[in-house]
Amino acid sequence: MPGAEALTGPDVPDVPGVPDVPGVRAVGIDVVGIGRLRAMLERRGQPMLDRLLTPAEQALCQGASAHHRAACLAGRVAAKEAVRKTLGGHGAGCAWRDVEIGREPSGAPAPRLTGRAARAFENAGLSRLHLSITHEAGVAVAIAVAV
Amino acid sequence: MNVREEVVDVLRGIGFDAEDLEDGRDLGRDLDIDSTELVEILVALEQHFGIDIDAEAEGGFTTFGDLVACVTRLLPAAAGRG
Repeated sequence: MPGAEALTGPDVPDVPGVPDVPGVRAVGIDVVGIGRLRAMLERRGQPMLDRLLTPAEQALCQGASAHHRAACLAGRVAAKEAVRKTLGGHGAGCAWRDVEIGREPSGAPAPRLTGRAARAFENAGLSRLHLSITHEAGVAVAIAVAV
Repeated sequence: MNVREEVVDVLRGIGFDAEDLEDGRDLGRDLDIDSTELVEILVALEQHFGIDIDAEAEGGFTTFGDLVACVTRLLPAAAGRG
């Protein structure tokens, strides 16, 4: 994942990329190479998985094929980083597991913040997160919009 | 082999060149280490040295020297557990 850069609306109104939409406070985006993450997880095993993902996320990504599982895990890692970017400087020190990416009954990703991430969300004056994840051509991409 | 040399050895095992690993080198700007790669490095250091690195400390690692300092700080605690 390239270096994190969250663009916060009210503080940087003229920065290209910040949506000129009332209510949008911050946007975060991230991309994760599915094969690259899979190789890391194979090298480091469960300890790396446990550092990145909660038990609920790991359970959510259990699937029939290794490819499905790798894509699901990469999507969740990308989503966590996208969400963390929306927190800007408030998110310093947030652990990966402080941002959990669940799934709505509709299939939409559902972010849940705990610990430092929850405090950062509150301190940043944010009220809601919108999140989307996609997988294509060996990468998982996630974008988060905070209002 | 001292702690610094062992940390270099662990990172060489992940694919880094030893000559790039100087204490002042910035993990992101100089070594091109991203957030997931940093997690792999920390887990590799935990596994090699038998230490526990706090997940909330990840954001505090700026340079290669920070990694060496962290391992150096945690090793006595790990030895005490053993």
